Amino acid sequence: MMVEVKLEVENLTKRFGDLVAVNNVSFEVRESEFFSLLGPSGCGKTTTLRCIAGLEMPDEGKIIIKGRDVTTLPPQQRGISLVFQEFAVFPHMTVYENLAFGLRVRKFSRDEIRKKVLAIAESLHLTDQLEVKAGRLGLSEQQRIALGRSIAVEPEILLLDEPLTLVDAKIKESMRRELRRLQKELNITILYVTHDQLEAMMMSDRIAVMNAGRLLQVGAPMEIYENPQNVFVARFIGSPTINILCAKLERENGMLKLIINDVKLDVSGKFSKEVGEKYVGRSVLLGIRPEDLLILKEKESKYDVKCKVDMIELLGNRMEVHMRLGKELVRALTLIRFDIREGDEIFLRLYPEKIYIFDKETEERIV
Amino acid sequence: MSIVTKALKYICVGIFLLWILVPVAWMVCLAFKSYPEWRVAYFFPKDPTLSNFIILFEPKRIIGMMGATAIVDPVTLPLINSLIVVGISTVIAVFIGFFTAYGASRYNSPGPFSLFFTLLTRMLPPATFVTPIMVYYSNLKLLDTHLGLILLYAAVTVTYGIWILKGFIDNIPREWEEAALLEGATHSQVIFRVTLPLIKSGLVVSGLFIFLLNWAELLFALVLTNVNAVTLPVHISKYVGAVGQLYGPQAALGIISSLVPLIVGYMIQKHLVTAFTFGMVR
Repeated sequence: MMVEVKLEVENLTKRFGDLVAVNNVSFEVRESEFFSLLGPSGCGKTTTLRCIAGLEMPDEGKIIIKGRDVTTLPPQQRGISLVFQEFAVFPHMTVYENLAFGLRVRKFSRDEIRKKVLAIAESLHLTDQLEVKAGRLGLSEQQRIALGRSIAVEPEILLLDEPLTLVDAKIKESMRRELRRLQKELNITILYVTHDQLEAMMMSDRIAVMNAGRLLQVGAPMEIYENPQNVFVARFIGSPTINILCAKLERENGMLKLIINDVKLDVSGKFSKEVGEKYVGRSVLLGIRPEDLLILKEKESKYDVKCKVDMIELLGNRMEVHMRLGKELVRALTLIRFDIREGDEIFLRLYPEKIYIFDKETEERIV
Repeated sequence: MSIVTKALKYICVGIFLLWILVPVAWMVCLAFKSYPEWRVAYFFPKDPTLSNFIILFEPKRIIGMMGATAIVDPVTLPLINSLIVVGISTVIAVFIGFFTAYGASRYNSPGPFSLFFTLLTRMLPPATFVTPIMVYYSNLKLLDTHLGLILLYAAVTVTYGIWILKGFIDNIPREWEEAALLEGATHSQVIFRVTLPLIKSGLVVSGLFIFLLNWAELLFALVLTNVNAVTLPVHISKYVGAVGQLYGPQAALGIISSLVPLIVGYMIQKHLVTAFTFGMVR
């Protein structure tokens, strides 16, 4: 079955003076998909969203919603809705009036509005508060109102701009689940902007990672986690952050070895012949996730390297071990083990299949 | 709070109130005094009378009495004139003020500097430009007309509308308007359904402020009107002057002309509270 494409962004560029906020960004969002734009603040994700919404005019590129080029159309003719970071619920209106706003300005009949609003209030658990002034309600209600108001007009695509930033950590989790449930239940296409990788990982069908105005990688959460295309994405996704070490690739007795300080690691299996040749004798960046490292008391295989424990941090049922591998600092995440102390000498197993190797100059992934 | 500081506070407030209210009390008492008591320096009338009020509406009665030498017209026409002129000019000033303030707040046009210059009409003493305006008006046949006064009043007070309302509009997050736009509202729907209701208190307060200024305006009205468009302040001034020293009726008219702003202020009390806490709409 062909999946329908709801939104296409083609070569979008937006400049503010000399600053290129969005630099040649292209992606597409499919029908009923939860798509996240993920990146640090100032990476251009919100500007991208505002261009899609029609609140900013792009300098270059096209925005196509359901096959219709909307690049120059005003916001109200695009078939989109936006939930803002501050929710932007109208405080002078009741919850009912808020939910009905879009339908009223679109001149729906009274009965129709009533029917739709009641249905939405029902699914958002707002039925009891319909006559309350929206400004008096708490954040979690305001979020639901904002969401309800946006959904009421049945947009082709719903845009959300970091809607959970202002919310307490405690409520956040339940709101995330709620949002995901609604999205599935009502079958909405969502474009979600966030700087929180955990949030993006938890909720999204696909994620687009952005940095400095550029789109770096698009893919399903697991795909991005397991297959980062460059150092930035590898660093941005996953917690604690991935270890990035300087290493050198050298040939020894016909085998490719990765040299980290005085440690030699056999990585022959990872490289194709041509790529291996190209990087022999050059410095590269080695990436390995803390959760992929195995801590051992004794050396058991040729992949085990000696380290010295620097510091131990307890994280509930797990612990983060900071170690020195030669001069480099390495972190490993492991279940709590009480036989490791600060200052101990231990062995780290670096599984070659868990290692990412990046070009040192471009920071792009090699293997 | 200790009793001493509390007492001090009340004493300060008391002195302040005395300072403001004594002249008002004097006016009220004078309004009910009969002719012989007008120039006597005590508060309460010995022989309270309503004749001062009656004289306002039937001035013919005073010919030859109370030291009056000429007829002053009945107060009805100036009262109606004032209501028309001040009412309409206030509405215009608030209306134009709102849209100017909206543009300045949302689009930063025409820049802060030009906005500052809207205050120019308030920086010059009105006496400096009332004469040129009189000349223009006489050429434009606007002397002694409602329209002439309305235009002038709206022009010199619109700047208050702009500055007061800009503060209120600045307080409204842009997102609310953008959200409404995205819900499918047009720009004018956004203004009328979202922005205007949210700054209701601001509209009311700037309206009241402008109303009060124009209601008490004397100089322009004195110079630019003669018979048809005379306003209350001009009329009040007529009781003391060429016709004699009619202090009693003047005080009575003072009461009447204070009643209008008092009633208006009472009606919009609810908004004044929100507005003077500086318009936080949330």
